[in-house]
Amino acid sequence: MLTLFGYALKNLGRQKLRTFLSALGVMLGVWLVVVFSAVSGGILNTVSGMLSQFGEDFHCYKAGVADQFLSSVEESRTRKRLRALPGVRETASVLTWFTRIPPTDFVVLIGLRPGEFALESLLSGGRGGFSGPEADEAIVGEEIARRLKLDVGGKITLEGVEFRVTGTFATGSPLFDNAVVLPLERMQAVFRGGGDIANYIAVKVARGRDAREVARSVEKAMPDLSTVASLEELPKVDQGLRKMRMWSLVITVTATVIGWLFVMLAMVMSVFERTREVGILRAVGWTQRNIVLLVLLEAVFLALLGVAAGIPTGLLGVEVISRITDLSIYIAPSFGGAIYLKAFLVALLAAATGGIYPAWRAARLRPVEAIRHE
Amino acid sequence: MSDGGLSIRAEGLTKAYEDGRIRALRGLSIEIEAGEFAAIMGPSGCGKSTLLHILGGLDRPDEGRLLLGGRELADRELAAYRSGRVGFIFQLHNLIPVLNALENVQVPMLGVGGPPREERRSRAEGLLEAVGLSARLRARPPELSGGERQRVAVARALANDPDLVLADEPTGSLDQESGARILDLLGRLQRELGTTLVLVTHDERVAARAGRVLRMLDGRILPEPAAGG
Repeated sequence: MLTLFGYALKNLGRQKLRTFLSALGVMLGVWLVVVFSAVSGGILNTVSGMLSQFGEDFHCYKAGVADQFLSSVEESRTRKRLRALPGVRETASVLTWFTRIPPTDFVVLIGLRPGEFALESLLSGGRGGFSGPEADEAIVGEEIARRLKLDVGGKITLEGVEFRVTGTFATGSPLFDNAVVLPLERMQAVFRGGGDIANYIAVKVARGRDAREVARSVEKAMPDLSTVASLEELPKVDQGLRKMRMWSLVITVTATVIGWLFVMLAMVMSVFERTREVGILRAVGWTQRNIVLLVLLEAVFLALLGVAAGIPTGLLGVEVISRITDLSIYIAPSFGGAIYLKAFLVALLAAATGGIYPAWRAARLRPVEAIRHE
Repeated sequence: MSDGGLSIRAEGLTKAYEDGRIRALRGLSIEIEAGEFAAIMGPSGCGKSTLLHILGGLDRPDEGRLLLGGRELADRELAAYRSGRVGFIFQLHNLIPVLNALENVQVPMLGVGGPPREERRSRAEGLLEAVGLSARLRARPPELSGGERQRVAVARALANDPDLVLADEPTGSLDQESGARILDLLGRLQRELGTTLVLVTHDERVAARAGRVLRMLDGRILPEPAAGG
């Protein structure tokens, strides 16, 4: 039984190669969106998790830094001042460093002080601990332990210094589960040349106090610090998130433009080839609106073909990229429903914008001239 | 089916192309009664097809007055006029190659505001049966003979129950036998339904089937000979 949908589908079947190539263009756009969104979503999840990994309410960084990992605060003095502020219940120093343990490209080292809530929180999902604040001991995440075949009692050499593995932990976050935790003082000495420094101070607020309010009072009392309680506040100390969002926009626009270009070229050619047929349709009573609808439907079907191919290949692409780049070691790609919705909307936008000009062109054809077209 | 034909009254129609260099119609006047079968004859380039396109609402005259069913149509009414009151049959069937016979006949009924699916289908089946093609419903144009294609085109022209059927050399590309079948069919439909039928032809034998023959030359209708003359 003939319907407008059926007619549009049959029109796409006329030039199968062109339809395939056009759908391939849309698929490329959808692929880009799926891959980038899954990876960037995973990064966001990881960063978001970092902000509350130890059960803290907010972080205090050095004010004005461009990257959170470049922040450096004088820990003992800063913590003393923080503890004196109303609403601050507990503080913990956190020092991070990146090093290389072959065959991995890089490993995150985290310096935590025994007895502070950060280490206790981490070890609540693990076993073991440090014998002292300056011991050459390491507690390893379960993923890096598995990859490097490490267990309690084993040895790990970091930048020429040998550490004995005295514990393991599991958090569910790929970044932390691939990290190595060292005693804070030992890490300061080995990797930062000594000194009373931390990247940031993790803060827990007193029960019943509003964390944001306490964080605001910290910034007011200590203008050399920037507090971060959520992803939205991260740009205060890290421009990476802003850059990633900008890239997300660039990728989305690029994907839409690629899809738009392929759909438009395909539909312009298709309409040109069918000029006489459009004239016949007008002659048998089709309105301009019906012609526009037919061409747009064809464009939308092209887009749907692109979505149908782009989403599975995008998921496959994330898997392949994860494997060949060790991406999965540090982040877990996010495959939330929003990605599919975004991919669908990008394809739909490409179809609508790519189809509108050929549809308008077809509808504007004068029937009598279209019929005479050879 | 149609309640009856559509009357046509044209006065002083002119139509020129290419900035006036080609004058297809030069003050043409014509009057055709509702339900009449009129054949229009004339040499190539005398303006027959242009007249047919104007009568069918596919084109507008540059000057003159055209009354269809007693009233002048505005530009915005043309699509509805073509859809609801006119059926077109072209010299080359102009069927849509990717659609089968049944689907081709449904094309005029397709689109926003058309009849529902079941009605479209049963109507198309009835029309194809009326033109003797009930056994070829699923055949696509490349699988049909020239005569069969033209019969599908006739069925398509009747899909929206038109009051006026315009046929531009409908048998021009057919052999004599197929052409005769098409003309028999059109004549029968015109008689039984009272549809106005205007047919353009070069062929005297085809024109002889019409109730009235109008001859065109240089964009005008020649005066008809007096009755019995």
